[in-house]
Amino acid sequence: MNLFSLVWNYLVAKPLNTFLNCLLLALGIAVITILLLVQTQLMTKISDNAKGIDLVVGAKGSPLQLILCNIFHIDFPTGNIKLAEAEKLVRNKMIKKAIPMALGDSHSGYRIIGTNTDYPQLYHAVLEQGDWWKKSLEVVIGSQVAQQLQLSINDTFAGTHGLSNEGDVHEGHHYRVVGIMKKNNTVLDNLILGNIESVWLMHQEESVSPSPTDSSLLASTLLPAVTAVDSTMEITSLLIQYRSPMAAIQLPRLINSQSNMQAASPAFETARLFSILGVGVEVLNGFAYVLIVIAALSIFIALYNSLKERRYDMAIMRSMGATRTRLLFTTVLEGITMTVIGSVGGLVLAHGALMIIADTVSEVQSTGITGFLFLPVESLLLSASVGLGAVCALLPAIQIYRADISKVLASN
Amino acid sequence: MISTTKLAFNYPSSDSIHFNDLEIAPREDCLLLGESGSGKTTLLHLLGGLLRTYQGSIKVNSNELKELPEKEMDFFRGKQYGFVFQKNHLIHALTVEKNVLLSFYLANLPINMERMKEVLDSLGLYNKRKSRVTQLSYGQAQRVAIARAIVHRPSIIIADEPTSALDDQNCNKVMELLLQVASQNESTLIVATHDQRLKGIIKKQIHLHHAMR
Repeated sequence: MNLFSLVWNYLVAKPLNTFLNCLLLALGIAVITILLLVQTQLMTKISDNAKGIDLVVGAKGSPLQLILCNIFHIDFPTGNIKLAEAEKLVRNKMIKKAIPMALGDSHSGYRIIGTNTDYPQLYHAVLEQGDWWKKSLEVVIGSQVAQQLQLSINDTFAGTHGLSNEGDVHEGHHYRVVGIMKKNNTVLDNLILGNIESVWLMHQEESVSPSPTDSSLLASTLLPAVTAVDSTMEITSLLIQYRSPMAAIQLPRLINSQSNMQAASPAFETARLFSILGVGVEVLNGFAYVLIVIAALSIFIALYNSLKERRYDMAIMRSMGATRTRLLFTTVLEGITMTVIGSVGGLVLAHGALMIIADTVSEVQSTGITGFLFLPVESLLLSASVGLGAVCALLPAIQIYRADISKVLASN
Repeated sequence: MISTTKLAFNYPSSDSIHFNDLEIAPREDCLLLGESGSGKTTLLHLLGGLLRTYQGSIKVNSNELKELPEKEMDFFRGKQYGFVFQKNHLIHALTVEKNVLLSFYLANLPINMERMKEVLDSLGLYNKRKSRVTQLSYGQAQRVAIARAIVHRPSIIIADEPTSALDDQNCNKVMELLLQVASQNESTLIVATHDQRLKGIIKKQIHLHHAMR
């Protein structure tokens, strides 16, 4: 017999009431926690994926689409740009590094990217097995790709035209896996990387292109294997690193006004994306707070109502030696116990739900969002719930504190 | 051990009640008799330290009750008193056993499981100790209330109308039980009642008259 056992017995004596109160609070806390977890993880994913990329240059269209497609690999390309034009741009002194990207094919939903090894280096990718690609049609795959498609070194597969599963299969040429990257929680995990020539090779049957390799002329700055100023070759985009902060002001304007290409800044576009998504997040957050307020109200009402029937209990306990402060404390502890159970339940619910979602929904899986991440804010939520319980219980507790025992005992 | 002098109490309705001086020796059993409205419950609450705004004096074990600070009064009450109320109100959320153990806990005494079992056993409630109090019959509930009042060996047992709802047979049983546990525990037993059947059981009787003025 102790204080907590007394409080616990009171709570268990009304299991449905207690359950409802805890559930209401748990739902509110769970929604807030899920939003926090997803938001935090998405933010870090986005900044990790956009790290080191100051500007994306591609065909004219939606700048957001350009970013989504070329950095996060979730939207479709805006079109192609001429390799010759890209080369001309890269000669600009403000550019420190430019990585060419050629998109268009996929394998079982995983995108095949034609690029150079600067691209994986941008993300500090490390090989788990094998080696980087050296020739056309050799590819290095991300860890998620290897795991989901059960691919290992020397396996071959045919690319599918387009970025969805419904495209035509390029049966003429097969890719061969030469390396598998270690998981590094960036987009690379879900990509298949090879050289740009492979992507061109795939599409040779459809568009008549000159053979890329036999040239004694000046080599392209972007793709040494290709003749410079080759007017027919196209790529999807360029990922650009600035040499100096000044470039951020001049380069985008230069590209957008003086070429057929467009430049989009990942930082600016993702900020814009978040301000669009922000409305939805705000609504959900508001909904969660409403749930929490309702839970608090419900706990308050439950304690207030039980006060009436417990008046006599309290008077009896006073007659048995309980002090006013002890009874006050009992009531406050009862409120706190409920809110702590509710918020712990909410946190468990949130993490559990995210674990299940991350395990079953492939779209979420590819973003790398996990339920196993615990944020420092969660302990803050927990301590706030202690405060909430105390506040809910305070008014009923004060009423108990003030009760006249003799009057209660004498009134039958 | 319990003595009052010139005791008077003002009701909030500005009525006041005056009590004749009384003296109850240790281990003495005492009956407070009077019709309802005669101030029995008021006197019991005054003697039990539940009402503390009185004139005159109440001394229990040579402590003037109104001079004890409230907290000390609570502890004093917890250790020295055992109350049996008319309605044997038990804490519904707790089992029989925990209702009884509450006496130790609230009086800040060490939890004595042996004593609890002994008391429940002597009242024939041992096999009911894990039951919920809502599953008990009236008689069983009353015995639990008595067990709760005496388990911590108080020096004073105060019972308010313990027999008013009982038939003759049960009335005798309960009184026998109260007298027995009081003498076993060497406690003073004070019973307030309007039940005339008890007149023949306890010798020392204090009659309260409608003394409102």
